[in-house]
Amino acid sequence: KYLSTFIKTLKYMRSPPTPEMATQEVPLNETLAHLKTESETLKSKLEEERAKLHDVELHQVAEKVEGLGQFVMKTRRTLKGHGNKVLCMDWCKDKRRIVSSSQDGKVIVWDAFTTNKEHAVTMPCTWVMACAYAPSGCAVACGGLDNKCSVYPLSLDKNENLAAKKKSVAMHTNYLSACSFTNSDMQILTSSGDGTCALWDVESGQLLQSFHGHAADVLCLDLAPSETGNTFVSGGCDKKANVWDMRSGQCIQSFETHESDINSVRYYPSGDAFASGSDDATCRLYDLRADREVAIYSKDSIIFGVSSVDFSLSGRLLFGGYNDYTINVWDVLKGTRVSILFGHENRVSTLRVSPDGTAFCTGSWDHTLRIWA
Amino acid sequence: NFSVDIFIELRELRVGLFHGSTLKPPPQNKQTKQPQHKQNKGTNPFLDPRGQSSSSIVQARRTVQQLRIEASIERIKVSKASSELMRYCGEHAKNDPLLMGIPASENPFKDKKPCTVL
Repeated sequence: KYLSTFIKTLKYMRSPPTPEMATQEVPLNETLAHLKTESETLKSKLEEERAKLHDVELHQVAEKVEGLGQFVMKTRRTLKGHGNKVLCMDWCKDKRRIVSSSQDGKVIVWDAFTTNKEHAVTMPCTWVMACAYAPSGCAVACGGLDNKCSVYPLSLDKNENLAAKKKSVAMHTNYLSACSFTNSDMQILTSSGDGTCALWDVESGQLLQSFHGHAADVLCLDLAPSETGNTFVSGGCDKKANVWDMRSGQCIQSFETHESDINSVRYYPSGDAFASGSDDATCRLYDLRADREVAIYSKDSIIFGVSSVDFSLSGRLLFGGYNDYTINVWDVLKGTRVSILFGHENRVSTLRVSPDGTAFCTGSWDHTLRIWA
Repeated sequence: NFSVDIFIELRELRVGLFHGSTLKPPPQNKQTKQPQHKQNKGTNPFLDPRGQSSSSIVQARRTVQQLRIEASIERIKVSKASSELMRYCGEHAKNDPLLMGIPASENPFKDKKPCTVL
């Protein structure tokens, strides 16, 4: 923190031209100043327009909704097999298979019902921060410090060497932080430490669209539920959550209320809102049609960052995995915490609810994954 | 990783600070034949105000265009948005296993009680 403040001071000291310079460059500086003024005016107008519609708080409207009772959720399965920190996981559409990736480069496909490992691949890099299951269930994608996203078709033959059929799809200029297949096995969306997101064709490896707008590493992304159309949301180290139009590459909405890096973003099941989890120890809900933050999920006693968030099927519950090894369960409408779950022995790095909502899975730096229900 | 970033940033700033903050030319060695200008036309990007300005303008123009797009979208009141979120929750609550809690017999992850066959 001290270093950041020091750097900010240094940046401030390395300031604009001296007056002599200014007189010789009047045209350029005027245009710049003009643009900056317009920028400030637009920003204030944006805030004004948003504030006009802020007539009530979500939790106030939700007062008439029945409160939730006690929740009994516990670990039903523990998946052991990774030799190092689990960084990411994803469910298969069949609601029972899971792919997970870890710091030591291993990517494992599990049957969550039986806890058996079905496939294992060793990536040529460490810190495999992203992994995703293809909608067909026939392939997985993963990547990390290799700056790439690779797709591995899953073979029915357990003895076959998966690495042999590997296909390199995405190429970024910095680490891969997240990846997701779109509605089909044919396209992958990626986000990277190079500050961009990108859409790729799996077959040819061709870049279909790139998304520029974040001012720092992009850490997470989530695709809108298919009914709501071609958009996705991304969150980054610039504390911004951006909503993008996949076809045009345009950023259509931007939200900047978090006080630190946004580690995870997830759409509300209806597609009209999304939640985010950040290093500032809060989760927040942003409504896309009201174009503003409508809820903050936080407590004074929670001081560790949120690494990942996901909604239950109806959107009433928000699960957050935290760096203090716990999982907090929030009532999305009322803004209160309904449960806190213990079990992991190190920080929770990834959390996803199963496709049919019967359980959720967490991955942790304690090398294990847990299924909760 | 965080400390590496800070180190690199500090190093770059130190260079810029001592050679660029007052926009004076860097210490000229004897081989350099560049005449001394009030406007620095050196190749060091920290010292070329024209270079700085044109890229800043491009950036500022992009920001203004982006803000124009964001400012022009249609918005609804929070009260309306909230009631829509609530309605969705209400409609789908009964199908939400984690919310309602479903019996062990229907949840593949919950252990089933052993049954005796008589």
